Formats: sequence, C-alpha cells, structure tokens
Amino acid sequence: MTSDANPAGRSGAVRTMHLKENLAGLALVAAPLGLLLVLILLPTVSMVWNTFQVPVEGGTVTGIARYQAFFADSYSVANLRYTLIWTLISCVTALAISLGISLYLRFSEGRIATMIHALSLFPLFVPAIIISYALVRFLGPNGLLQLLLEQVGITGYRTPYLTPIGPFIGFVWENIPLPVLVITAGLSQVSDHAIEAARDLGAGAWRILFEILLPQVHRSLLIAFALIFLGVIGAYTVPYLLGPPAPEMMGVFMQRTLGNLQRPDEAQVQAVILMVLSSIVGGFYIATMLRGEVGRK
Amino acid sequence: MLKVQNLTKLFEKNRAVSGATFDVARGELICLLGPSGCGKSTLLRMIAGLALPDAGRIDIDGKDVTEAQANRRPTAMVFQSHALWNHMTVAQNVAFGLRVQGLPKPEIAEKVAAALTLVGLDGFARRRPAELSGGQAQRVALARCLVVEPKVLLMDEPFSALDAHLRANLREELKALQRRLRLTTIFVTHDQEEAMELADRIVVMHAGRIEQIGRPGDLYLEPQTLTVARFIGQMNEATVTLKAGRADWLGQPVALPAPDGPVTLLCRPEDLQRDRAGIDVRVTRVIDLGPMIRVTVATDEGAALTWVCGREGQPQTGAPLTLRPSRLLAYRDGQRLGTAAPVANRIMAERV
Ligand SMILES: Nc1ncnc2c1ncn2[C@@H]1O[C@H](COP(=O)(O)OP(=O)(O)O)[C@@H](O)[C@H]1O
Ligand SMILES: [Mg+2]
Repeated sequence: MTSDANPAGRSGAVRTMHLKENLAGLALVAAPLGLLLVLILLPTVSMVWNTFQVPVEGGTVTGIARYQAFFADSYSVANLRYTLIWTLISCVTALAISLGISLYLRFSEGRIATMIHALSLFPLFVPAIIISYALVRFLGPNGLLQLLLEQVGITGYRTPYLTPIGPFIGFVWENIPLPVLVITAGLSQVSDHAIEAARDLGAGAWRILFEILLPQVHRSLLIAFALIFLGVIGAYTVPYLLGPPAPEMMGVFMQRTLGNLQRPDEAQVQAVILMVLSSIVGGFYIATMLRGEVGRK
Repeated sequence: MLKVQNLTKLFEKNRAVSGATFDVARGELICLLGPSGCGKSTLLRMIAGLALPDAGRIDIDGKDVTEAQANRRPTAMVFQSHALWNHMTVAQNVAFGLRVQGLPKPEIAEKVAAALTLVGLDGFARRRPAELSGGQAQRVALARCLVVEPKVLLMDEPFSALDAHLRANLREELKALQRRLRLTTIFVTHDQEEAMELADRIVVMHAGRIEQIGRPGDLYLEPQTLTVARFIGQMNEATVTLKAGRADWLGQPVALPAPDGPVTLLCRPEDLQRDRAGIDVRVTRVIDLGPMIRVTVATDEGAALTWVCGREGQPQTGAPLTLRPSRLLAYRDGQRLGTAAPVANRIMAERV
C-alpha cells in the first residue's frame, strides 16, 4: 500500500507542473487572443446580430426578414450560385494542374524541372492586381494573344475578358503555387523504392498513381483545396477587373452594395452568408488537420 | 532457371556493370558479394526490370525478358529500406500484388494470412508500417514478395540496416524458408560473412565485373584473382621476385613452378604455424577474440603479419617467435598463378 502511495504522489506533482506550464502558455497567448477577441470576434458578432434586427415602425424586432429578402431576390441568388460554382471549378482546376506539375517534379530532375518548379511558384510573388492587368493585356480584346493568333491567320478570337472564364483564369493562375508546395512535400515522402516495389509487383502507372501516390497526398490535397476555396470565394480584385458585369462574384457584389448603392444592411447580410459558406469549408479544414493529428498518435 | 549473359549497364560512360554472365539453378540461393559501389544493385535492378541494360540478355525459365518492364517479369524484390506503403496496413501491403493480379477477395485473404504466418507475423495484419520494428518491416516486405510466388526472389541488402544480432537471426530464418520453399533467390550483400552463411554459390563482384563465381569454401580456399583473395577473409601479403622457381617471402624461401618475374604471395593467418624453421618475428599485439587469439607480429625488416592461434600457447607482447607459412597463394597481374610451397630455409640447410 505504502509503495503505491509514492508514485501516486509523484504523478500528482507532475500534474501540478503540467498545470503550471499550461498557465504560463495561456499567459503568453492571452494578449493576441484578447486582441483577436476585441478586434475581430466582437465586431463580427455585433454585425451578425445586426442582420437579425428588422426595422419596424417605432423600432426593431429580431427576425430573419433580411435573409428572406436576399433569397427572394433572384439577382442576389444568381450571384451566390455563380460565386459557388466558379469557385469550385477554379479550385478543382488549380488543384488538378498543381497535381500534374507536382507529379512531374517528383519524377524529374535537372535544370528543366528546377525551372518549372520556380515558375510554378512565381505567382506567389505577383499581387492579384498585377496578374489581372497582365491578363487583360494578354487575353483582352486586341491583346497580345489575339495579335499573335491573327499573325498566324486565326481570326475570330473571342476574348474571355469580362466573361466568367476571365476570373477563372486569374484564379487558377493565382492558386497554383500553394498546392504545388504542399503536394510536392507530400510526394517527397513516398520513397523511390516504395514506387519501384509497386511496379515490381505488377502495378501499372495508373494503379501506382491512385493507390500509392494519391493516398499519400490526399490530406495535402484537402488542405490545399480548403485554403484555395477560402481565398477564391471572397476574392475581389480578380473578378472585379476580369469578370462580367453580371452576375457578380459575392466580393464584388458586396462592395457595390456597400459603396455604390449605399446599402450597408444588405451588404452585411451578404457578408454573413459568405461567412457561413467559408466556415463550412474552414470547419472541414480543421477537421482534416485534427484527423491528421489523431492519426499520427 | 535464370540466365544472365554479358549484361552491361553504363551511367554516362561509367560502367556500373560490364559483361556480367552467370546462371542460377532452380531453388538455388546466389549471393552477389562485393564492396559498396561495385554494381551489385545495378545488376539486381536489371534482373528485376527496374533498370534496362545497355547490352546483354536475361532469360527467366527459358523466356527472354531482357526488354520486359518490371511489372511484366516473374520477379519480386525486397529493398534495403522504406519500401512499405505507409498508408496501408500490413495485410493491405501484402495483398497488393494479388490484387494487381485480380484474384478474388477470399483467395487473397487466405494467401495473405498464409504468407504472414510464413514470416512469423501472425496477428500483425492490421498494424501500420509505422508501428513495426525494422526487422518486422523487412518480414512484411518479404511476405509481400512471397505471396505472389515469384519465379526469382531478389533481395538487395535487406538486412543491412538492422543490428548484428537481429541480422543473424533473420538470415537463419531466411535460409530455412528458402530451403523449404525451394525459392530461387539472388541476395545482394557487401558482408562476406552474410554471403558465406547464406549462399549456395557466391558471385564476387568488383568495379562492375564478376571476379569469380563459386561455393563459399572454394572462394575462401582457392580465390582465382588477387581482388577476391584480398576481399574474402584476411591475408598476409607480400610481392616478391621469382627466379628459377624460387623466391624469398619475408625471409621464408618458397618454391613455385612458374616463369621468372614479380609475384604476389598471400598467406592466410591460420596458415602460419609456430615452427623453429621459420620467419623470425616479434609479437606486437595480442587480441583476444574469444574462441581464438589474433596476434600481430613484425619481422626483422618491419613487415607486419597477422597470425591466429588457439587459446593455449598464447604469446606475450614483445616475445620472439618463429612462424612458418604452410600454404601461399601466388598471383601475377591479378590472376592466380598457383600455390607456392615453403622449402627448408637457409639455417636448416646449414644444419643439415
Ligand atoms: N542512377 C544512377 N545514375 C548514375 N550512376 C549510378 C546510378 N546508380 C548507380 N550508379 C553508379 O553505378 C555504380 C554501381 O552502383 P550500385 O549498383 O548501386 O553499387 P552497389 O549496389 O554495389 O553498392 C556506382 O558507381 C554508382 O555511383
Ligand atoms: Mg547497393
């Protein structure tokens, strides 16, 4: 009995120490956490609360009338749908291209591969507004591409500028580097011998891709997807400069509602809806991260 | 069963393997033995189809597979390390080759279980590779190959990342398994002890060339080239000049029926005996190896020799001795010239 008491006491001491460490840790993050609370969380909560305040004669009541108004307006709904669809298309395309580049980089070496790697990271250093203007000059009416095509006798070029394809190209361009970084990191975990072992046992290229390589990077892919999605769904510059006047991406729509139309209440409702969509994907991102943590333990 | 002819592989003019020719019989275990970088892995990878030869021909079971891709050859390879797929369980790893062949699920499950039993990993089916020790991981890799019943099993230094004790155990298990299943196996190693213990025949490689092929004992007793003689076991070496069939090896007159010229004579440490009619030496170092004693001695001219003797009659450091070689291997231009025999030395001759 006495021999039992001792370890128990020691583990009690250990627990106290852990508690102290935790407290010290908390103290360290308290300041930034406080700032986060005051500068971001509070205004957000107050704004969300505000969208549920419906003006009536002589004051306000709490209700969902503003949201009903948003979903009753066919133009608003069209914008929402347009945003979602093209965000998804852009994400999937950017991921597919990045996966292709990463696979190429995994199995190649030498100068050309290094150059392609550098090139694929290049958009990381170019601000969205510059990309947008560059694309206008390149793809736009009487842009470089059209001139080049005419030089070789191809006429009737229809510019993607001011169509949904315009911002789509911009988004894909912008969102190659991040997935390339995470996927190449994931693929480098798969040793040459692991791939050769599969080949040796009779697996062809597709089976190796789907059963050996992709499973090792699927978490990287999910995380990259979430990050791109969150960036694209709220984008402003690219769709504003390259996209069609209507329908609009939510970012552009929100800005116009707030700035040109001077209707902050409606803009707030749009913002909350966008926020809900983003938090769904954000939650999914966190879940993926947590699953990885647990999996490692 | 397996026939390799004149196989050659170049890496940018650097001959990794040149003109390799050998056969492997059904159920035989062949070791490719040589120092690191001599082309063992490259040769094995060509047999597996993971590297294409620049010249030569490979036949397996009478079929030319020289140009066949790795996934179309009846070979399976165990790598040195890291070749398990981390996202799959042990059972899924082992099942992979069978799924590729399109076998029905119940049959796969049955064969996987049998293969895991074979390598002594019952109950590990649902583990992940990250939860295995190095030895267990290599057993899984072996099971993954065995389960597809390859015509030739290839192993590239499968145990060299493991500690010596475990390595010895796995070696013994592998040999027993190989005998029982009559597996045709090529095993690559740079460790001569491993090769000696495992192999039916050893292929000794050096700088991309095959130096000699033979049974372990033959390689030890009759190395055909100077390289093999130096690589396998220990040797006392001295180059001397042969004149009229006589030469003087560190003070020991020897006879060798061969044309005059320089000749390198090598003597195994255990082929030196204490003998009053021998080379005068002084003990410089005594190393107790347990079952035997390794003694380093120096001749009057300062040449160092290694001698092994039993525990009884163990000499002291600094003590004078006379040692006489009983058997000397002779080489000229790297090739075997014959065996030199010691003859009665001058002092003896004077006494007579
Ligand atoms: N992929 C490669 N590219 C260029 N040289 C190589 C390659 N693989 C092996 N080599 C060279 O070929 C020679 C033999 O290598 P290897 O077969 O791996 O030797 P071992 O397995 O006996 O240690 C070495 O000199 C090595 O540098
Ligand atoms: Mg090697």
